[in-house]
Amino acid sequence: MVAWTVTAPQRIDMGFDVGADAAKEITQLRVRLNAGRLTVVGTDGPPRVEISKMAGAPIKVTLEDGVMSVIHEDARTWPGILIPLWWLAFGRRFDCDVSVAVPYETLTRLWLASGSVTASGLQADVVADCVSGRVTLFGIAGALRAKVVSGPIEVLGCAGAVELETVSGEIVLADTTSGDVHAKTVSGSVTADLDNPPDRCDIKLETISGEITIRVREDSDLSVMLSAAHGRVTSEFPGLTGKGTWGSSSTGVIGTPAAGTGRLVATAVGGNIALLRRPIDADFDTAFDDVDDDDGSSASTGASRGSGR
Amino acid sequence: MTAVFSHGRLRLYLLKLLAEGPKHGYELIRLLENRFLGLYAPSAGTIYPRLARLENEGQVTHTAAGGRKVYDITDAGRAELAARQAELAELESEIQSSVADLETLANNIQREVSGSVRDIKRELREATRQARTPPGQSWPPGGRGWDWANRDWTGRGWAGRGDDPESDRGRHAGRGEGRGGSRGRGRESGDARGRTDNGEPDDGYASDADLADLATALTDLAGEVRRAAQQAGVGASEINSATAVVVGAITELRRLLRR
Repeated sequence: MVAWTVTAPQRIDMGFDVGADAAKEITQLRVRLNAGRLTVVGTDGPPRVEISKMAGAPIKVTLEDGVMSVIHEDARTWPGILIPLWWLAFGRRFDCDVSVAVPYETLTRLWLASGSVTASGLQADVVADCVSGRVTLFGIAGALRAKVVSGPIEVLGCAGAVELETVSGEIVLADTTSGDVHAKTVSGSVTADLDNPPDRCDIKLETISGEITIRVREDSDLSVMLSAAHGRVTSEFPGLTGKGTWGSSSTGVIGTPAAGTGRLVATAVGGNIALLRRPIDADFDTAFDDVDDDDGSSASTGASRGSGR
Repeated sequence: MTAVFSHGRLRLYLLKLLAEGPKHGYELIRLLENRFLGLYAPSAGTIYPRLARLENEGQVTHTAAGGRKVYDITDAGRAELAARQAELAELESEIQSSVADLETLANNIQREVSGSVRDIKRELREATRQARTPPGQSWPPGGRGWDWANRDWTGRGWAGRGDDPESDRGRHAGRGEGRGGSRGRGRESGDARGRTDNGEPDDGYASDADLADLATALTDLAGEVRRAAQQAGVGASEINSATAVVVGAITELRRLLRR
């Protein structure tokens, strides 16, 4: 095990400090910080940790059995009920700015109490937990799980299964080739612009007080259930039957084969739901599939697959 | 690697890539990926609509070669590229920022993502508005009744509703008359409602007679609508529209009587 205790802004270059072999073996990253800004980037270069700003509380960086962890040394000894007070008094000491570069295939688990989390260019699964702050995920090929209590989640260009949850905050999901999308918020809108595979999708979006806007490929084969308890359902797809004006819902099967192999469920209590269609071009996609088939992978994960190679 | 992806810049970048030679969609995606330092490859679904738009505007053409579309830049496209040369140079210099500097990279990623997210939200909002407005495409495919029922509370919000219960009521009465049957009673019920709403002072209570008039009008309405709906030749879409009218009327009345 190699360990560093960082007390001042510092750059730790794993390849140089540990030796290239040990650095290459990193398979997991665990980060647990109390406050600040955290960025994780996939790279083919040497793994490294950059701590460019820190307000006092030391950060411990360790590497053991392929697991790299970056953790705030938490000297919290106050009884649980006084923790808010403790946070008021000492929270500021934890402010820091941490950037981590790891190999593309690193399983990543991030936890941050307050601040912003950004992860980008990773091929493996990512789990991001944030109590209050913003989570931004960009170009992740693995499965993705993000949970925020108060703050928005933005996801752009992801290919694996996506599961997002926030209590008060907005969820935006765009340019995503995943067919398995679950997003849930209590107060906030959900915007999902999907480039989903045409069949066997499982899309579930929920909000209590907010709008839902979904755009799916026009050739999607989905059995759809949209319900807005106090809002209106708008659909660009024909073939949905709906009922009610005040609190409308609509169900049906959309798509060209209309076999209903996929599922789209959207529930809003106090907002409208809009289902939009994304134009596609058969020839464009043919070109895309052809090349993908050449190197033997499926079209559904093609877009982000191989990113960074 | 900033903001290559936001609206105007992706367009510019696509033009630039095509100016280097004709390319098919897949190639474009891979080249864009390189520009993102391999962090991200835009999907076909993102690139294709932009190319289609460029093509509509005449900046790009395509030829089908062996089942694949090969895109090429036109003179108009070259002209735009030349006009935006300064912007392009700026773009190129930003792209040079590399993974070596993690902090700058982090800033760039965040700026990039929030820029694209803003664009996408704007685009979808616009699309939603368009989906709602054209009567032919508004869902469900209904007639005037549906539009009428929805117009107020989606378009202008609650505040806008106050000014037209009169006209709506007029339309109702007119409809009742138009369907034939009990002409006299239809007019009478219109009168009765007029008295209930307008004749009575705001602080007074409705008299028993007023209530009885309203009850008669309601029974008339129910009977007449039911009769009209059971006539031969009434299609499902008319029935749906009629339902929407009635539901809208109920909402309207509820609001009217609650104050």
